[in-house]
Amino acid sequence: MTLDLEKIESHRLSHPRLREMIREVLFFDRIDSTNRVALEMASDGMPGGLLILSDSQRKGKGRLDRHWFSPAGANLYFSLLLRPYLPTRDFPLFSMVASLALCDSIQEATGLSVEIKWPNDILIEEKKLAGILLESKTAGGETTPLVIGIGVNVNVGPDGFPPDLEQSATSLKAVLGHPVDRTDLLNVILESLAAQVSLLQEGKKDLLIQRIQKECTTLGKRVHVDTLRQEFEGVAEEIEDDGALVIRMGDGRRRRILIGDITHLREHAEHR
Amino acid sequence: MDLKEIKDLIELLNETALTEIEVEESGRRIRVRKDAPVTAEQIAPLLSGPAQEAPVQAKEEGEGQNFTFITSPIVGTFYKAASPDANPYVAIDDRVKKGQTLCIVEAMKLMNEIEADVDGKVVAILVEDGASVEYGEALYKIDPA
Repeated sequence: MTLDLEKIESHRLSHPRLREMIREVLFFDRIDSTNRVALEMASDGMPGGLLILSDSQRKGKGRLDRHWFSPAGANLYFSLLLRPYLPTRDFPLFSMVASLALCDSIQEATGLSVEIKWPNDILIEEKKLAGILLESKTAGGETTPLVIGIGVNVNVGPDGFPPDLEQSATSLKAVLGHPVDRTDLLNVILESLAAQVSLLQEGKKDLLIQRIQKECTTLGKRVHVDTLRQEFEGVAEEIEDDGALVIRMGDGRRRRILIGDITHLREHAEHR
Repeated sequence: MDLKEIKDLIELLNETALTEIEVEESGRRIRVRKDAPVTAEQIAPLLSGPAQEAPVQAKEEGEGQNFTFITSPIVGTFYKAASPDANPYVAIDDRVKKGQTLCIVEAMKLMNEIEADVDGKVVAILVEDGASVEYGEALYKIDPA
């Protein structure tokens, strides 16, 4: 199933909130990374409201230059360039915006129950279904562009992942047993993204945090945290107003984290 | 205490025969000392506390020197390089151009690239790789000369 660009465009035009968030869609068959292109266009002065969509990526980007598996004809890879009317210090909250949008839309489109792992991984049965990477640039006091990059494993077969991802990644097709129309899914995701983005832009940060506290399945779990500098375990207790995760350590101390790879441990907090 | 007030303190110190002024305000203590004429090096650590509405770029004038401080626009983790295996974007004494990437500050998988907004020389990197930084904390000291 190929991506139906006309359907994406007519959907965009018929939804005012989407039309407001996305003013232009650029589609590529193959590109190195949708985030890189979006950032480059931002540097060239491109205004907000650009959606870069690609059928495949040669160098799909993950956190800290990790690779995002991006085969052709199977999944969704897109980046949205925004120039939010918000202080840069609130930009990390777009991580929550994107994860809630993916969570809502995937549930709506497929009926599957998905989980949000802090800060923004989308999981099904503890395997990664979708990833989000946000990038922004600050130069002087100028408005920073924000790029929200999203990859969703849609129609890669259960045997389609490379060996290093087999145990940790999944796709909608692998879970449902049948392929999913990527165009329809993308349209639902974008609609949901537009709803969440406008919530944050309208200053309803509280609502966003309340929802993430409800939906993020990291809360209450025992977790392993790897910040590259340090590794430790504890129980994820709380998400604070700025999105930080609070971990209670074995000795009772509480640690606030803003970065790190989180692993949900099998053993749940309440069983301790 | 904001930048302006610190600057006023330094001016006061330079105008008098005093060698040290110490001020305590809402739990933050600031001491400006003059052995030799006060330089921006002595000011830099003073700028690293949590600020209310810190500008992204802060300027300080010492004795004939005019440095630019690049500060963090978000609370997060500071990285000198794009990935743990990559070379740092810049090192001390490097000449940088306006628009050149200096570092990344990450929070919740938002990778915020911070660019130099002046041409100049990197005089000091004020934060260790992988360290937590506060909003408004000074990261780089640039000599725009």
